[in-house]
Amino acid sequence: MNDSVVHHPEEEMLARFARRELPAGLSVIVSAHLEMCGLCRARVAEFESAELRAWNAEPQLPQADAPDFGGMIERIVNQPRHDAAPVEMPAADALEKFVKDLRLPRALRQSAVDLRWTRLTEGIHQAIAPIDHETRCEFIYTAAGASTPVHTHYGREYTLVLQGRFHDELGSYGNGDFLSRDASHEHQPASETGCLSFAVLDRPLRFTRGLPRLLNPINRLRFRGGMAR
Amino acid sequence: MELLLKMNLPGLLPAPERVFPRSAPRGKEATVESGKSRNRDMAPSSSRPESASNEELLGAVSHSGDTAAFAVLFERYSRRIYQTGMKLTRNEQLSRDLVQETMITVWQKAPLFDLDRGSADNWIFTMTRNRCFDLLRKAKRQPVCVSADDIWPPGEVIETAPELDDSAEQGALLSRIGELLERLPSAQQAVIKEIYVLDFTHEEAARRLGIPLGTLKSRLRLGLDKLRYLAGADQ
Repeated sequence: MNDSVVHHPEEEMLARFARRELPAGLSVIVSAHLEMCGLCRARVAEFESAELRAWNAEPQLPQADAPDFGGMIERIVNQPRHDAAPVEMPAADALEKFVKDLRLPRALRQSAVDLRWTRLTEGIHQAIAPIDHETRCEFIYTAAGASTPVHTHYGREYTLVLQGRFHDELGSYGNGDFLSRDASHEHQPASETGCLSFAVLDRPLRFTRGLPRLLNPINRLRFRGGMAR
Repeated sequence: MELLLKMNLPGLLPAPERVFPRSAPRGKEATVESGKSRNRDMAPSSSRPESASNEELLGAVSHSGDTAAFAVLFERYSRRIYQTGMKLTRNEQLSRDLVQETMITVWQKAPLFDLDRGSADNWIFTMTRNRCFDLLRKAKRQPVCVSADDIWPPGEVIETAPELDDSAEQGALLSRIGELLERLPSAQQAVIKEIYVLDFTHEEAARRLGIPLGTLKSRLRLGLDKLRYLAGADQ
């Protein structure tokens, strides 16, 4: 439990998470936040309860309208039951390179297994997590003293601080903090102590100043690759 | 011992005789064991599965692989699952697949059902939507590096243990546990801290402490036994 979380997803986002309406990438980042934030967990539990009540209130499909499930029971009970134990989640070795003693939220563990880190600019490393085709998900490590080049986004960017602290023009963010930025923010995140975060974009970054603009075409290309359907 | 304020020992707070966690929070074996031991108490009281509650039926499936109990659960839930599938996928074949996948999960994972964390309805509804999420991703050929059970853990996110608040009573209880804990051998303290304060799995904690898993488990058991003894002797 992390009691120091101050920045949370909006209510509407939590409701959509509970109703399973978000794309996978956004579901993953919200789930990871929930694991670090008891407040939002309680809120989602309320939305989930409402979903369950609605499910229970639905009139049962008349037998005549239901398909014939004949034989299904027999097929199922012939399945072995030995694999009932939960699969042990892989350790987050790929992140140990940057941070020690990380308690990675469960929703992120599978995608953190096989990360390939690239250096975006001095002190900024990123590794894409291929979660879905609707979003672009990445782990970002900002080394102590480093800052991301000034940039805006075409769409919206959601960031969850996994370990460490960073700040931008609007505030300072620590473990478990969840923030959302849209195209109207031109910002430059920086960290004094080093910070590992997970970010989900629905569109690519656009650097607005200096040499890093050279990155833009690459960035777009990479993103287009990720968008291929 | 300020870390103890973050402790979330299940079952610790309500009654003194339950000073001991009924189950380790995330350990693999512990989860299965606790599911089994609880479900053992839930075997159908009547010999007629038709009149048993959903929770009793799940207990019977878990405990003895009771196929009659499973058939009753199938009868009670299959059409509701199918309806949910039609609503979410608008596809008859996918909805049939959803019934099969969900009921396979019920059959195989019944031992993981934990009554403390919610009703059978809740558990099966979560499984229904989780299997649907996975089926749809598979149908769309999305990468497989996430699964719904990791995003919406059955019985974990939905009905969480009550958070500790700052009431004086709970604060006093926690500080008492802190004092008792300090009377344990340091090796046992370390293990309990890894599991109950830092919330690592048994495997993770063993790795972090650099000891074999078996050693960790025996230290945990000894430490908890001692703690229980101390708590009892203290009253």
